[in-house]
Amino acid sequence: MRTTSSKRTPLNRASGRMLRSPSTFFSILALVVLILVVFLWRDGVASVFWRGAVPVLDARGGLSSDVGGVFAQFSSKAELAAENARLSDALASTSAALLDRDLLYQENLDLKLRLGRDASVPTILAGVVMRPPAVPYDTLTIDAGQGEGVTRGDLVSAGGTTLIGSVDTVYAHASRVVLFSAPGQSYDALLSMTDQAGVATTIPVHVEGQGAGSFTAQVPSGTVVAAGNTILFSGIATGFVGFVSHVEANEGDSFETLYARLPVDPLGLRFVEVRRNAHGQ
Amino acid sequence: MLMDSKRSILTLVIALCAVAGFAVPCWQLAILAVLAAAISGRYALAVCLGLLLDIAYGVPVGVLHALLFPFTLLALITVGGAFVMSNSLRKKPADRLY
Repeated sequence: MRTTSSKRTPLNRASGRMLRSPSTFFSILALVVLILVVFLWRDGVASVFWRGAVPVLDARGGLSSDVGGVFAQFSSKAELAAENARLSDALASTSAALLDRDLLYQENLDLKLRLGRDASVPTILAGVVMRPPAVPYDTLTIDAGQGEGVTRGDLVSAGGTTLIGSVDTVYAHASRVVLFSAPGQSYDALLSMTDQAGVATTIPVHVEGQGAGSFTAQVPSGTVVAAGNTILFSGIATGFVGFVSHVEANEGDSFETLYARLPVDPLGLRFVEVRRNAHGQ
Repeated sequence: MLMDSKRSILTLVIALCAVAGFAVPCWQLAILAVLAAAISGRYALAVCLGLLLDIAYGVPVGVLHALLFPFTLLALITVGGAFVMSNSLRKKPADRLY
């Protein structure tokens, strides 16, 4: 008896024939061409993709609201009444604060205009069609693009002066917004604080994104900074970028580390405003 | 015929998984669909899903920015690995008794 190993089994010969067949060759060729097309004309292909995807995702958002409403009917009446009362109280206090804020903001614009500077910024309202965690990066996809007047670099706010990111890529009728908190993003801002003499002041800080709505910055040790201090963009049309949530100061270190967060939760955003032609101003 | 229907069902499940990853939303489901397609031998579907996800999600931000097409690269690497594995299993010498 002897044993032997065969290198040319029937299965092996069959797989070789399959690889050499014309249909497989053309399939591989088509795949290579498709990959090259996407690699070379990514933005064009993405524009076409988002033309069809934006209406579908908008409809999905509406359907989610409707489905949520259906399931809400199964909650107990007492729970719904309690939640209704709580939300009404929150709405009342928020409405009053919002009215106060609008009056002060308008007064601020009027004063700047009297001093010869027009601080009003034209904005474009856009709906958010994709947000984290649908996207693995800290980005938003909005349904306003080149056709609506959006340009690369435009600042994006969650409403009013609350800035959350900037436009990174513009398609025909959609855009991609990179949040300020995205990993790898860094920019210069101002930290609004109270100095040791108790005077309100600002100091420049370099902010770096950490992802999931968080970012960090460092200030010299001994700086009087506390949780709640705000981070702003400089310029005539000031933008509120975030607030300090935690300060880490180790004894002997030359710097204190600030941990800050975006002023709004990007996971819950449904609408944003794109500031037209406001590139970091 | 039974194998064909099973393959069709598997392809449909993979495609639904990819759509669910986009619509639920949960991007991890989309990655799972790409890996499942590559491992189950649907190489073209895996690469096409990877391309579609890269088009939808855009260029990565941060450390992954250099990759440009991370989902397509993942699909190609998984397809390559699955192809090599399947070929090595087929070429495994069979002992015969004479």
